[in-house]
Amino acid sequence: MDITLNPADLTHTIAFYTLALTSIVAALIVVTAKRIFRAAVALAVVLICGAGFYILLNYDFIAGVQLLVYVGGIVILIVFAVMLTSSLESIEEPPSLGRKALGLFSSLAFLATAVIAFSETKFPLSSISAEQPKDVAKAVGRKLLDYGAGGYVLPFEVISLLLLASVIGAIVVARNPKRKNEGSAT
Amino acid sequence: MLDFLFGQLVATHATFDVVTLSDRTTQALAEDPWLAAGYALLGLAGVGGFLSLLGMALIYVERKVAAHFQCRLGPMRVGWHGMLQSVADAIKLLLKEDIIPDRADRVLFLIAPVFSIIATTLGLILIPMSPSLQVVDLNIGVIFISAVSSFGVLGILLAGWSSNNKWSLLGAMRAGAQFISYEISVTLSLLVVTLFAGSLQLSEIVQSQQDGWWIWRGHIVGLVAFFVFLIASTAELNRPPFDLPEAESELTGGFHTEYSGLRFSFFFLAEFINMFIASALAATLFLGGWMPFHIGGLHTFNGLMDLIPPGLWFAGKTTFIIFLIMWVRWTFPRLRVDQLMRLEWKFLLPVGFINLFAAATLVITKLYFFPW
Amino acid sequence: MSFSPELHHWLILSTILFSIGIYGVLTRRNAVGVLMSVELLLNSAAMNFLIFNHYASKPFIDGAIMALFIIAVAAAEAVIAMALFVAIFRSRKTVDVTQINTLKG
Repeated sequence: MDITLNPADLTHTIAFYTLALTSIVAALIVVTAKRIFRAAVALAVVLICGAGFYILLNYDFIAGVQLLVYVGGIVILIVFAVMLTSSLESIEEPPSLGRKALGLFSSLAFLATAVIAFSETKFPLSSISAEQPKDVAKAVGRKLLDYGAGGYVLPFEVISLLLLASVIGAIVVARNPKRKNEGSAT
Repeated sequence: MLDFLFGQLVATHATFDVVTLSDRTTQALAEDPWLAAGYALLGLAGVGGFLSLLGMALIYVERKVAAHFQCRLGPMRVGWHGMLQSVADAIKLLLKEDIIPDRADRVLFLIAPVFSIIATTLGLILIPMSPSLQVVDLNIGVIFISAVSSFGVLGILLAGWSSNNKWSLLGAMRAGAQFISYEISVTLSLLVVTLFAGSLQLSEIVQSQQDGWWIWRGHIVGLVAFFVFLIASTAELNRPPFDLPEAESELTGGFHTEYSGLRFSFFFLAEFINMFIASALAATLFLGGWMPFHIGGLHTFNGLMDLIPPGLWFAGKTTFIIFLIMWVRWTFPRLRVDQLMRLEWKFLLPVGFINLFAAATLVITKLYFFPW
Repeated sequence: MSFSPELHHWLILSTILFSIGIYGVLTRRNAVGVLMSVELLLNSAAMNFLIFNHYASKPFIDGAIMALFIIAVAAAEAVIAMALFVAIFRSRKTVDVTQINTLKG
């Protein structure tokens, strides 16, 4: 057992375990909370911790996008969905025992399988001398608009189409058919 | 000491050295952990103190500006020209009874103001106030600032929901809808400057303006982006004329109806500091931040301008924009919800997209530099 | 064995988050809760991409781009799901997934 006393490494390790503990506890709250709004707040905590993990892995740009899109967009959307479909007093019934057992069994089975699988596998780790691109944002931007080999310009365009389609789809699905004639934007 | 506050007093061209507090801490960490701890403590105390002092100052200024717009005097009793009014108000707020509604969701009700104030603090530490007065300088600064500003709205949504009051809930939903809509326009105009400067790092964006500020170096595009940013961020701040989430004539107090005492003051403080952050961001991105007024090529003139310390430049520009936002409050009537949405989706958003396109064209053709 | 996080620490973490998500998808009654659990799954999948990018192909950035795509897809999915919930709630007055069984013969 070697515990390195290099302060930078130490802070890194402490940050990792603190974030890991917080995110696991918050994730458990997400799946078990009886009040759905509390689950949404816990989800926000999990996602913020996720951004923390990305910063620990040195992908600061992805962490920023995670905060911007997940916490700033998706969580707020989910909160809206909660506000529109339930009230403060609505408390969710706990799942039936059979369902609970099924859920526990499948999640534990997955956990066990995955842990065994990757403890048996030898991953091709990159050499220690390998350097991460210094400016992740720049590297990602170049790669996304690169149309040569290994470029991602086509998936990028497809994603933008997907987003457009989902926006239009959402408007069509959510609009109230009884109020078709009103042209207001709200 | 003076150096720490204002950076280098006289700087020749392109020699502003940016040293942030987190840089100092990391540097000290390798040599002397105690010094690093000292820096960290200094940063914490500095940010906390700055937050509360600035909040009180802004509240005082707001009341004075409001009063003079209405030909009144405003607070005059406590201290010289009412200077200590905010302190008195703060003491009053702290001594008030802390009420939690009986049927509120207690946990969320207690968390909500904390969420708001944390979001505000996270935004504040990124602002470059002078070359050596910045707490952290992330290289995704612009993205990070617009990301953490959304935590604040999460706090508002929490507050509205957990109060178990229909006015609070309505106010919170309005705040959320307004925020999500106007966030797009804010981000679009931030992107314009990011394109010009070629960086997301706030200090680098400031450095990129040493031949002229983006508001005029970007021709009409910079100007349009500046105004879109100003309008959209006023809406994000829930300030009049976009103060629907707390419209007192319709919703009593909006999302903070049920809050009192310390918790209410958290929301109040966060709101005013957010105004400062938005103004400081506008000053940093469009008006050069701490960068003195420079015209590319005129070395004598630039040298003369450099005599004024960068911290003062930053303070001046930010104060100007804060005054502008307060001015708007007393000039325009409140919008209706549908007008609010129409303004964003049918006007600001298309303008923002066209502007971004024009900005990209300018950058590709390198037309945004001054001809001399 | 060292305490500082290595590849397997990270993998165990993301797997735990993923299995918690699986539990949530299978047991939640409220449809919004199911959506949240799905977000947990997507988040831990994105994290796995970044973990492998960091430890197995450091000089490249493809894993980060995959993570970006996952985030974008998650956003699209949340938008559609929210629209569906609102529409379902309007006609059925509930978003309990055990009650929404019109398609059952």
